[in-house]
Amino acid sequence: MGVVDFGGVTKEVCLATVPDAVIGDWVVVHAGFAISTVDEEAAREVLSWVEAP
Amino acid sequence: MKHVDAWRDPQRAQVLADRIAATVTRPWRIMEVCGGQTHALVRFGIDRLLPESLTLLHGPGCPVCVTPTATLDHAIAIAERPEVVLCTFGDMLRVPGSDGTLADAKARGADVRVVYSPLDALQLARQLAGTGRIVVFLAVGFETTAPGVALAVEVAAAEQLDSFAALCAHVRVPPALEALLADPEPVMDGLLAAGHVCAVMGISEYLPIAERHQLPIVVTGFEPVDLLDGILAVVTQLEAGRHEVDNRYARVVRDEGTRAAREALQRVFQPATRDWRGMGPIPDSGLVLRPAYAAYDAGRRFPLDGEPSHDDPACIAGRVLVGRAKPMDCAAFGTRCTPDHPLGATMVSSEGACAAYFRYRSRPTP
Repeated sequence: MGVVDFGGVTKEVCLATVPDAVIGDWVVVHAGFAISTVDEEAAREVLSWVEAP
Repeated sequence: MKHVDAWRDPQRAQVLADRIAATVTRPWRIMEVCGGQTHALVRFGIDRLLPESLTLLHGPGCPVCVTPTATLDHAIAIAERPEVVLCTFGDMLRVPGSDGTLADAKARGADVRVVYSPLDALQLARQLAGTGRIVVFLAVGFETTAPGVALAVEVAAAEQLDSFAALCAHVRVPPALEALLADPEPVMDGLLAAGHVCAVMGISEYLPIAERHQLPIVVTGFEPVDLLDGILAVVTQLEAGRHEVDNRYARVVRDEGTRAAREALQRVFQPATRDWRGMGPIPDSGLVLRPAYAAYDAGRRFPLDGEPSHDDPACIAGRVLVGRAKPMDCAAFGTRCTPDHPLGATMVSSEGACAAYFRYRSRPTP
């Protein structure tokens, strides 16, 4: 279990499925369980190709 | 908020909408199979940004909505047992069974409680251990939700917590897609694949579906920029005559999925034929507890007997769920059927297509 900060609200979440997550990582949480970690570089890649002019 | 604002940026959304309009030369039909995406498409008015020749169809992606009446009847019968505390997600309380809802059973005195997580039900079961009472968790959801239930069942088994059992109505997306696509005239030309199902399962199950049915499948997320980017990726493939699986939600979805979650599913559940509201029985589309966990299977502990289940005859939820009808096609929409008094599950859940249209489309936009 770990504590996840949801933009100000904190909650205990099961992190058993994301063993590589470290403190400070962003995770996707579903019904009390982390189901994935957020890859910031992949996020930037999609955003960059729709950068507003 | 970080990881949200940029994906709701109106300028980026407009850039994508313009690119879609410039790409599309023919009519195409794109389906999403995820209640969260259905909700977001209607909420943000994504369909109104698209050329008229593009049709968005909402598939059977709301887990509450596809849960058949018989499961509700079973849950209600279990909830009415004096020793049972029935826990489930909030939406399930108002889904109509053959004769009333779990909320009605609660009003009659059944102990029915809303939980946020299977872990809350597990914690309650620990508190009730040795009292003769038993917590039954009514577990609905796709591959996104099922790993958490799998882990909760494993913990209950490890603790030999016989005050816990799960009534599992989990479903898998790929067999439902195969069932939709087996139709000689499928309703869709391209598919947006649900980001959070794929976050768990990865994309490998979708490769043979794309190939066999020549169907572009694009994994995408839940924000306006995600959805428009996904739609652009689908129409780009359609216009070029391609049919590939494209993961546009790579910030969350790894191609191989989330291994530990997938493995938990494998250890605890096995595929089985399951009834879907509106679609009937689909082979291998359900997840049932493996025999090793039979002691924690509420369906086995409290088998259902009684009358066969029936739905309200006015409700067209079954056709809405497979993209054959829109919510507004229903004579009862917004009149006899509202989120406060739903006839069918698609009007109950915030992820249901009828509820989304009622909330965002039943009044003229200012």
